[in-house]
Amino acid sequence: MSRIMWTWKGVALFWLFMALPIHAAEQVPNLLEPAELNKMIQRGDKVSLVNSASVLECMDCSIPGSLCIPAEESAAKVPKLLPNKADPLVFYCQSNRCYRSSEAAAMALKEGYQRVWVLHGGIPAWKQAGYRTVSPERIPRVPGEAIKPERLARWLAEKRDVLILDVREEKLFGKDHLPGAMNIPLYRLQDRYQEIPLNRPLIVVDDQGLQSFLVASYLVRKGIADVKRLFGGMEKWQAYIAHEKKKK
Amino acid sequence: MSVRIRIIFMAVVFAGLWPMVVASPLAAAPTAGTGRNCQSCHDDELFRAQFGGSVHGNNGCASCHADVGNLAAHMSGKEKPASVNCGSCHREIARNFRKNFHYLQENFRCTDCHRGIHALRKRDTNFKVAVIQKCTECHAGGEYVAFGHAEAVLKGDTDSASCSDCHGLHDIRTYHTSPGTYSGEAREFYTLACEKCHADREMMKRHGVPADAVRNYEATYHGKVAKIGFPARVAGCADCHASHNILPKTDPRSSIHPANLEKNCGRCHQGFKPRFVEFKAHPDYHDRKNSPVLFWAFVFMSGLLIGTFAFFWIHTALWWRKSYWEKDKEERLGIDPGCRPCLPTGSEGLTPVQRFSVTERIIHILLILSFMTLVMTGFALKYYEAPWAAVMIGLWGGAEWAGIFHRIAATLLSALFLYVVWLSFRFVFPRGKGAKGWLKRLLGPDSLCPNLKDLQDIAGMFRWFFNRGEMPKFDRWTYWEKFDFMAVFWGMFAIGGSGLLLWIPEASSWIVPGWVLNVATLVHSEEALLAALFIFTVHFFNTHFVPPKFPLDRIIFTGRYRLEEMQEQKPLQFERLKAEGKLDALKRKHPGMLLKIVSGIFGYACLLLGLGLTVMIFWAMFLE
Repeated sequence: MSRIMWTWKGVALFWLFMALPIHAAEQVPNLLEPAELNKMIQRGDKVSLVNSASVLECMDCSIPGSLCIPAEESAAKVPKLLPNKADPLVFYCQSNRCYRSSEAAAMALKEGYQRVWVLHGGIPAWKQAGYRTVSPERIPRVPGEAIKPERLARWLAEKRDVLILDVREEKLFGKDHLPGAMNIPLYRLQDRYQEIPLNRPLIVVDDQGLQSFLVASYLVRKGIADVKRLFGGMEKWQAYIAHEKKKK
Repeated sequence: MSVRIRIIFMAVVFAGLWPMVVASPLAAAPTAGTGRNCQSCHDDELFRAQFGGSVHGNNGCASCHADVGNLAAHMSGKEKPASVNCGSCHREIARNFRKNFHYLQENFRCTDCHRGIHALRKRDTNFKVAVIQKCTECHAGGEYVAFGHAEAVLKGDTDSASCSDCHGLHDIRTYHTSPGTYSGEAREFYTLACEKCHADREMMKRHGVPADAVRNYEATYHGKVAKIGFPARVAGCADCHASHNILPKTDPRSSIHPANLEKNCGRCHQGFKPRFVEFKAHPDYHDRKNSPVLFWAFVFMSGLLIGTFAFFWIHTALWWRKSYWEKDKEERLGIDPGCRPCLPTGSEGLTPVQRFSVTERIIHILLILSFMTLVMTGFALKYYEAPWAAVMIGLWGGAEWAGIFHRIAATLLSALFLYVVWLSFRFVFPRGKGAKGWLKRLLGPDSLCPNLKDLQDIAGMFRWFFNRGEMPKFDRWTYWEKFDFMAVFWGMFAIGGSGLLLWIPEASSWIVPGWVLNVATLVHSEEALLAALFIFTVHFFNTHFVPPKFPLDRIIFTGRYRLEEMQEQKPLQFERLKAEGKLDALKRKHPGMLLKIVSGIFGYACLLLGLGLTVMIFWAMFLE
């Protein structure tokens, strides 16, 4: 009898063990629609807005009253951001396909902030909803050539003397980058642009082709004359490479 | 006029104009109390010479820089003017610009394209050329203008498309550069952009471009599925013709040049034999010269439809006329047409006898369900332009789900068909008897195979319609019932065969060349029309609306009718079974109340649905 009881207990314990989550439940920040955020601002809620993009992008376009804290710097700055952890905190990005704000928001949750959101769709969604943005220090855009991956591949094969400047963050650059590319992440560009040699035409490569225009315009203002951009960024380049491999 | 008089005249004119110059908008900017104006400081050549002749030259500085109120604060640098809001005048453009990809994703301002705003002048070139010049300042590299539409614009063709004709001007959409995701929304947008010009037959003729390309595309599976609201999975214009540098198929660089077709089609279709590309993406079924096979397929299918309906609709109309004429005659003679014959209680004639077995009834119910599903999902696609099509597709949960239901119903129908083929085989070659006497069984009274008597019955029926004889005496199956049954065999060959070819077109290319898929599309569509209208008009009349049975004959659900009905409708079978002593074996109990109620609800629902669909089909045909 006791053997049967032990068997049942064993079975019950096994299933209990199987049902236990492997990881402790991770808190995920909620999404906030632009209209909701606007309502909070209009209502006079003490909502703190954090633009998780680079400082250059943040100064170029932000929601009024935002703080510029690049995602890479959020570990250092977010813990001391608000004295009251119950105050609302909204993170956002420059693109609707950006994950930087989600990373920063997840970090804020870990730090004990209780009301943390990510603006759904980022700045584009905010603009599309018709709400105002500010540009404390806008970089005037300078027309410049965007070259497609096919053309860049041809240039690389011809060993053309160009410098590829990859402005993605370090971890993405570490995973995959164009041969011979130099990495200055966008969030540090204003401090490090002097490192760029001036003796070669420059090709700016970003993640999805949405930041390179701003970067190229900034660098032209900083005296680099010949700046081109990779159309569609690394995403388009990787798609091109995958397609070429498939063809072979 | 002497020189002196001329000088005096000019001096007078100059003196008269001077106050106007002083009062000009540029000079009228903030001067209050200072005796200065904007040009006092902003005195370079741009503002002194160029601005006046620019497109905004009639506006004063404060028209745009309205926030410069305190001149002293402005001059000391304490107050800086905010960025100019062009939308305060250009409202419509500003409204569109809020949807612009460059604004939403890259924070563009008006002046990023309209640079040098203070000296901006109208361009000498035409608008389309100006747009191309502007866009290619950044979107450079030659591939946009080397050949195709943009090349034609730059060479002076004012009909050809510039960048903005396809992408929009101030409202350039956000999805066109989404890498790797040519979504349904984008495909729909660009296909409509192409159609804006290519549906203009006159313009196309002017340029030697096929005038019916849009109409013919819309007749294909690609076109219909895209138009019904599911463009994500079918080819739009740009999928085959590429997006920039579109060239005619005679040009070896063109994506639709015969040498490039395999690669072109291969971007969506995989695993096909090279002859797959013989499929015509813009088939013209009326072009006898260039597409003789499609033309004759169209003629054949049209002939089949016209022939079948001509015979059966005349047959139906004459039958109806005859029945009402008979009824009218009876009424005149003082006979109650609703009570003939009125049998006394307990008569043998009131006993139910079986006509359809349980299996046959289940087959027919499944047949109804699959057929109705196929018609509702298929005809919404066939007549995608009809006002009811989108509603119908919505009922199925969208075009994708409608497609899935269509294929599920097709599979069910095919399974039923195969089962009926098996039953038919077993009827001719029953277990134990083998092939012995098969011809007798095939042409015998219990068989659904047409025989000589059916031809005699048709002639007899027409004689009866015109009062030239009695109504023929039928055995177990009338000729119209046999036609209904046999039509399924032809229908399944035509619709089922073409449907299977179209289901996996790449695999079909291992059996047939690509152009057969064009024929299959036509056959599938026209045969479906034939089947649907035949069932909803002829079959409905022959089995339900014919006067003694009107409005619904439940026999296919209950499986039973009264002995007297058998005697009246199938007299030869009745006499045969009576002589053979087999009548008693067919006698059954009355069907239960539940079966009667369910049969009635289901039967009436199907009849109403069928009639509704008939109205919708005619409505759509009329609109076409």
